[in-house]
Amino acid sequence: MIKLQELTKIFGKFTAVDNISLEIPSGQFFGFLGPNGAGKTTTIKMMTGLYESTSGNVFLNGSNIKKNPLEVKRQIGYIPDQPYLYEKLTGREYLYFCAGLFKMPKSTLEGKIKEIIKLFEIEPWVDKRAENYSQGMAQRLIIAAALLHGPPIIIIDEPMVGLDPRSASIVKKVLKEKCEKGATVFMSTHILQVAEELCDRIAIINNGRIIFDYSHDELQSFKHKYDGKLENLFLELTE
Amino acid sequence: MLQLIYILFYKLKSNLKLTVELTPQGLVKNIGSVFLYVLFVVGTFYFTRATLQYLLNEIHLGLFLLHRFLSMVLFVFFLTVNLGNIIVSYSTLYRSNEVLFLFTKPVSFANIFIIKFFDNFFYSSTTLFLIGMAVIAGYGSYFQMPVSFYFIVLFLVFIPFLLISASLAVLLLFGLMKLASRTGIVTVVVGLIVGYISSIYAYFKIVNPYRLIDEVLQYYPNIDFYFDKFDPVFLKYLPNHWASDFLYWTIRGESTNSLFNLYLLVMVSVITFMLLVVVANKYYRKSWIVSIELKFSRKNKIVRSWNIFQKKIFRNQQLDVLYKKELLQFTREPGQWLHFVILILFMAIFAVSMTQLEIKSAQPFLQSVIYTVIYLFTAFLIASMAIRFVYPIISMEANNFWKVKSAPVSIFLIFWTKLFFVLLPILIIGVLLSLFSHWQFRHEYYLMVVTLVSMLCIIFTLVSVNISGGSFFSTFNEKNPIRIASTQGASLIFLLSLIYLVIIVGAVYVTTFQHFQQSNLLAAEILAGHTISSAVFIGIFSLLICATALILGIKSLKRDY
Repeated sequence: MIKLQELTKIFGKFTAVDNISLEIPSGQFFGFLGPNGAGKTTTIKMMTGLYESTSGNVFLNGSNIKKNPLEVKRQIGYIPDQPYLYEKLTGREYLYFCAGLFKMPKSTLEGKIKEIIKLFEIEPWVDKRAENYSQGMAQRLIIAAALLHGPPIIIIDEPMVGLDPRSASIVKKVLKEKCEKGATVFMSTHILQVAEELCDRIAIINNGRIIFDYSHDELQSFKHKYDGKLENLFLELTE
Repeated sequence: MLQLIYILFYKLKSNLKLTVELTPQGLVKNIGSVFLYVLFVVGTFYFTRATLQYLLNEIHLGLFLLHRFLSMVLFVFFLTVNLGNIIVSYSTLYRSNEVLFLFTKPVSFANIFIIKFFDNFFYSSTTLFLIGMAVIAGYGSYFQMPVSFYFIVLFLVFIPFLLISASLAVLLLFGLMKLASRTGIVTVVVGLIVGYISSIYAYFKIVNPYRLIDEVLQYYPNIDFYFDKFDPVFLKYLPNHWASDFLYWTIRGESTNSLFNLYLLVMVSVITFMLLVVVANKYYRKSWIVSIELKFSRKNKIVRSWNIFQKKIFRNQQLDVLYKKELLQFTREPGQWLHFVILILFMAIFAVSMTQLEIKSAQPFLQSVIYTVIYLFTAFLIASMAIRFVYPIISMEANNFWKVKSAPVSIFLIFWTKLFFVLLPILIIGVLLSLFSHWQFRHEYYLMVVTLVSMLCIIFTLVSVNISGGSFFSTFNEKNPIRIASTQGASLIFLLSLIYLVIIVGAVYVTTFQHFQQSNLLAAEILAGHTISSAVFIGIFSLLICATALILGIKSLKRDY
């Protein structure tokens, strides 16, 4: 379960995230939409411990990230918006490296790595150095690495960037399956179609504030007022 | 031409904007830089004057020998700038995203090249220019030269001298790229290292300073004359010789000879630069493609033989993977290990030459001066190593740091792993270097104790200051370690390190001086007392700096990423 409580982030005089509160139960696929600079990535960075909030709290499965950062981070699988990798490591070495950061038991490690390599179809190039990867290849490896330790909470910032249709399909399928097995997915995206297709609930953030937060079914009824298009609803709300 | 000025104007504008950021780090960086640069420039000015005073009035070296030694120093300086430019130019000319951007625009290759060349030339030489100006000021003030002298030396001697070195470096780089496309990068790198070391060895073998001193001193007290009959013929073709001869003839007031050397320097620098632009216009684009081909031929291969992560080195799993990651990043980046090997080779040459130096028969004062100079140079080498390899280690995480920072790893572990990774090799190298460079003093028990204790303190402090400085000034925008080590923050940390070294060397000098002056007169207990008090001062002072730096470094690493 994810709980954001009156979360605020101020950079100098600029308020990037303004007092937002959200509660996302386990097993829910949550879509976080918003225009550029609305505060999506800042919110995600506070949830993953990359930024410290100016005020308010983030609770993941009951633990406060300010008080127990390591315990909270252990439960997260985070996929950022840009697929940056250590260029000098091979894909396989990167997977072992990430497993070590999460202290995964050595007995099951090899099997899990083989499994995830097969799942994301990265075998042909997993032993090449990351400096030779295309953006899509790097993105697939990062998603694989994020899911390696079986996190109960998956936080994704723009998952489909750079992915070809086949890879995008694999990622969508895997995320949906994880959600069905009880994982909570918090996904930020610009692609409204993806949000509509995958999410149980969608929120829109604009100028650092949540301006829309409804379930998939409620969203369908709203859409009728805007020619049945989520795009029109989004444009109107974020104008 | 207009296009070139237009692009350079925007680059200048963007650089000026970056230097006046109003963040706490930016303010510390800017105010601290100004303060330290002023302090450093003033210190260099007085140091130059004092050195000249000592060499000319105390040990009566004479004008000719003074300028021949200056020529030797300038030769080493020329090669250092040359090698530095080859390494930095490789990354600015072939690895920069700005080049990729400009290649897609209607800008000629010659213009792109000139932009990147001057970018490189001025970016990596700011501190060099400042030191150069301070030395010129100290030199001119000692000889009471008119104001015009300073401008002439700066613009018509110093800058052309650096320009020749940098232009030759890039011409050589083009040649090396062509060669690398045929023989492979490893052969070229090995050839380059052997070439530089051989040049230094051959130069000093032919010039032979000991022989020169003996020959010139036979004419004492008339040692200010121009004894060019003792100069090897090849010396007349070197820019360092022209620069030192210009100064010699200017001091002697013989303007015809000094103008001839000035003419040589300016003309050769202009011709070399023009030749470089012509070659670059034809070959830059081709060599850029060669660099891409080399990159892919070298890296685009499967590495499945042995996975270092499968075998544990440390019990702590997180420490284990973090340490191995650092190790792989270092050993797989040629720019890193290559620079490291070159530095080690220079250190080895220095240490071996010091073991052969015989000063037992010298006066106590001279002994203590030589001891302190060797000590200072050893410490300076460690400081150079620290700024080059320790300072950038946190910023080098660049855009990849998100993985470690969002993982359940404590900031302390990240910091200590990096510290441990760089401390261990520098500790071993530093101790060996100080032992061998002071080998001739091995029977002076008390001195060796002070040397080793203070050198250990210096290594711990410099590593702590550099890693913490790197953490405090980390930007994560630049991943090239050479460029990170040339930033404003790095220069500030380097100057701070030098100030720390001056204080420590001062304490060591006091002990050394007492030792050589009075070792025959004082009892062993009194000498031991001096040694202990000196070691305690160095220990406490270093500990305070170390602790402050580490606290600041860890705190800085906790900042938002």
